Amino acid sequence: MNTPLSRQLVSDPDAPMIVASAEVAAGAVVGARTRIWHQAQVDADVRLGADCVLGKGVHISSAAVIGDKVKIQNGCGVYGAVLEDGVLLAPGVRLLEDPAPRSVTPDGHLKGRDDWRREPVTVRYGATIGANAVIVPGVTVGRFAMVAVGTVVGHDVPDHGLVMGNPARQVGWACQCGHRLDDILTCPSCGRRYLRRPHGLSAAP
Amino acid sequence: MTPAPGPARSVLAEISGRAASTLTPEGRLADLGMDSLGRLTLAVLLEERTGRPLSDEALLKVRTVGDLERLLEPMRHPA
Repeated sequence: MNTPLSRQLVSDPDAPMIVASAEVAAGAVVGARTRIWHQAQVDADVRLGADCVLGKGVHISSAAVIGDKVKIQNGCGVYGAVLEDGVLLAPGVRLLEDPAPRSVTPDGHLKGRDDWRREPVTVRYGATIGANAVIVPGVTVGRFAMVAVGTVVGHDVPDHGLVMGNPARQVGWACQCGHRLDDILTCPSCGRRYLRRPHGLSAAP
Repeated sequence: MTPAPGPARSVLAEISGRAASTLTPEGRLADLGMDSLGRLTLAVLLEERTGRPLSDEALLKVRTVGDLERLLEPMRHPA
């Protein structure tokens, strides 16, 4: 259960752990046992689930919604995204949300909070985003998808899709366990088998 | 005289480090050591050499050297 920081009890074994140098706004909701490490910043309108880990220097803002058991490693920037349970963001990932980024309006004024349109990223259950990958606004990364290191993702990624490069290309499929599937959609590591579906792959019954 | 290998075999040979003459239509790309990075390199090199885009969906279905040659065939002999 998520508990506003203002109501947490220090003696509660399920209380989040937030190191002193982290900046978590009072209005942010942080789930049980979530750990927030050094110099991380969490804005007031952010909701974080239970059992998450935020590494050093992570920045989460713009009403991002984070599920349970999500790992966000050092230096990530999460702007307004929706992360379902079990997502992993490796170090340096950026999830962007402004499809038309400008500092000033057409008439030259500094843009304010209401001068832009949000198109947040969605990362679905169990997906992994590799280090320094960038996901552009509005993209959905499918369940258990695997985004390789340094990839620039400009289109949706299907469930279990394995993508890499700039621009991202799908070069295969990833198992729930994280290994690449073989030609017959079977995992050489754990033996799980998959079937093609319109939205990507699903585990074979 | 042996004809020059087509773009499929020449690019596969380049990426795998094997002679194009040793590649057979039945040969599986996985047995040539083509991992995910190899597949990405394959897609990019083939598009550069042929000047035509190749969809990820079509390339995902390629398992063998012959599959790749069939995929590229319409490019070599346009209707």
